[in-house]
Amino acid sequence: MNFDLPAELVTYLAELDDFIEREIKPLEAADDNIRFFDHRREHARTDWDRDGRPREDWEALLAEARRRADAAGHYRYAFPKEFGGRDGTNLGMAVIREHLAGRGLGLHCDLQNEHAIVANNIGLLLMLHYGSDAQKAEWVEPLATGQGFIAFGITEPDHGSDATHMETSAVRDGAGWRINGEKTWNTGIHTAPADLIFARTAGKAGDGDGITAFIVPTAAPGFKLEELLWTFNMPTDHGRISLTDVWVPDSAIFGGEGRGLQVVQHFFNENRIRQAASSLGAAQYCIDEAIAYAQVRKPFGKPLASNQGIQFPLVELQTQCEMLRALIHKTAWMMDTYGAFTVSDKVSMCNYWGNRLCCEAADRAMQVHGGLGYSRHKPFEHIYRHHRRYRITEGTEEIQMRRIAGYLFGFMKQRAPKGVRE
Amino acid sequence: MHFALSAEQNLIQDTARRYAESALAPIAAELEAPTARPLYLARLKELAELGFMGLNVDPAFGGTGAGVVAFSVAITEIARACASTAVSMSVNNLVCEVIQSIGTSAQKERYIPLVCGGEFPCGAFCLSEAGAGSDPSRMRTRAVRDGDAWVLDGTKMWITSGEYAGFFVVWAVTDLTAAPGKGISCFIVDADNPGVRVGRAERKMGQRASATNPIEFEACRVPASAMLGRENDGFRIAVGELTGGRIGIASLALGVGGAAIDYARRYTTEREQFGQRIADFQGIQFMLADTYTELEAARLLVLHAAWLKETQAPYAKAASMAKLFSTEAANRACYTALQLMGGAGYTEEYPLERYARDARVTAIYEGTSEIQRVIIARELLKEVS
Repeated sequence: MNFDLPAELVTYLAELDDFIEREIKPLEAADDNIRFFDHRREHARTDWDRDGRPREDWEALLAEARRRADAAGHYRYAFPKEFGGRDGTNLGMAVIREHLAGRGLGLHCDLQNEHAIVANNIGLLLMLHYGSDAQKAEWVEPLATGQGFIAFGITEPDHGSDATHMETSAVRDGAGWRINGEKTWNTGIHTAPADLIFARTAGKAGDGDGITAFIVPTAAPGFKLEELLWTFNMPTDHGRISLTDVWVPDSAIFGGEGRGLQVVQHFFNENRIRQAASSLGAAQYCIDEAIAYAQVRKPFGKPLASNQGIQFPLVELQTQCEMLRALIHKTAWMMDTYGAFTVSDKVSMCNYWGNRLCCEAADRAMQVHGGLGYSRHKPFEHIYRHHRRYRITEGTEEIQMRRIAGYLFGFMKQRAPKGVRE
Repeated sequence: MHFALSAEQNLIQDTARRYAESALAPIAAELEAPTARPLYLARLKELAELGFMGLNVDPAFGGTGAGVVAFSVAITEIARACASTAVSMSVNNLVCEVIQSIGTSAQKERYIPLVCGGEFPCGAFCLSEAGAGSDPSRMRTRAVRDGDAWVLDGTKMWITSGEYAGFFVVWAVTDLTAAPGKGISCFIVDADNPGVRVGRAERKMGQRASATNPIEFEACRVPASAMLGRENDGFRIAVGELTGGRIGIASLALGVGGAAIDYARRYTTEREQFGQRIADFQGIQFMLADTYTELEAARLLVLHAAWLKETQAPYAKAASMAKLFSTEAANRACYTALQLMGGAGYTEEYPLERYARDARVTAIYEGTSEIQRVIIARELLKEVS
């Protein structure tokens, strides 16, 4: 038994830090780009008059950071060498994402936009896993460089946690399919050239089989972005869309006819562990900042840190961080060693606890900082608002607990979540 | 809106406090020994003489007629000294109230004065069974009609005061063909009925001075006049008429938790470590602040539920909220109090370990915390549908 991180991973974190200092920090400091991160961040990022979507200059800056990261060989870390990656592991991704979020807000990692110098590119991961040769030829390169993007259309206005009860359907029509329905919370849809639409093609509501994923061009006749949903943390790139008699050819099927739920499970399984690691990093950042501030702030003539009322809540949070870190590392290691789906219950444990912990840590950091913490001159309000979202997306806390309970009480099969075939 | 007790309620609270401090607190630890049973029963008789066994019962039957709030504050004061005494007092009050509420004139005139006057130290409820705890609708005890009598067969569990109760209020299935909960009736059975056998008392973590027994009914014959309430209406009686018991246990828990933290608070001002009173550590202060805040919130919930019942307003949700919060808060208070006293609190030299043991069952009996949540949720959803 050995709890040391692999040496090459430790070395790589230092390499990433060095890259950030050399290539990302100068970009952040240029042309008042710091407006996207300091107290002006929400306004600088949000195009209030265009449905609250991200401003183009903000997204252009993120794209430039991604370009630099890809040129330096970091962006594709998680992917196989043949696609320009480094054969990164789940453990590696978890550690890297914690590390990046632990540095606080910056151009190196902006969770609100699912942006980082080491990509959490689930779209590419799914493409390599499930794409046909033709789909790969079209999508691997743009997905790998971060220039292309496929949005994800699973949730519907009336079906969130109960995704298998979706109402969107696709019926055979000639050499293709005709899709009708509505999807919501399609993240990134404001610029995405395509949306991965999940539609029922067979079976009945609640069935794991019979849902098919289609790559649908957002320019297809009948595909309409109805609105962007304004959220706790702006800007928003979360859209509600409608599909009216949208026709796609057979070649648009992604992951096999009727096998869409496996794609969904794969997406969530991978995203949940990484989201948990990001939340852990952000939680640690909040705690570190609160500890540093408590030592310099001196109400009543002595450091705030000398009060046990300040110390003990931070102790409790740090204790939870240590426990969560151990569980995340173990879970990611098990995914690498025994297969991504073998520990879905532990992935869910990491996820709901991490996201909750981050909200508590941000809340505590605000409390320790007093009025300053509440102001936008500190990042805690932004961190709180973003990670509050994580307690709902990628499966709510309740859905995570449902999965854990499912394994614990034997309602669900441990080795294969609903819809997954090994 | 006002929050003050009336003159009568104040008087009852003072009386209870003075009695508890002088007659119960000094012997509460001693009462835990099985040999102390005569002393325990003597104290119950004194409480009856003070009018505490029928606080919300009509004086016509020997009650005090002081109301539910008076009942609540009296229980809290008695429980501060001895939870085992307070639980018998709570059950006795409820037994009298239930008979008063649904009994025949003959039943009221016969049984209520026996408990209120102290002739019987206790009455007892026989509801739970080995396989029917949170879900009493699944009880197996049966009562079969035989001419002008009913014959009861079955075994009840967890009967508070089982071995010294003068009579039992017993639930049994009278219609075997009915759906669960639909064919249950309620009977009053005298303890000296030859068909009653009291089993060996449970060995419990806490509230040890109060006996808790299984009671076996075997070919136990009672006259038709022993039926309490209407035939096949017993389940409603169990889930409805017993609701007041939750206020009793919530009040009891409040007393135990309050006594524990009061004791520990005093200790923090006497104990010195690192050259100062431990009360001067902020970590200690905040534990006190949180605990007293919770208990104060519990007190308001409990008194509010009592006031609702007293004014004959619906109080099921309030009683469950009070029971849930007060008993859980009391357990946290005991846990914190033990922590504040360090090793000392863990020994039998101090009453803290007894408070902690006594508090634990309050979140279990008279409806577990989980059952309270079920009731609260059901009431909440009923309000909108």
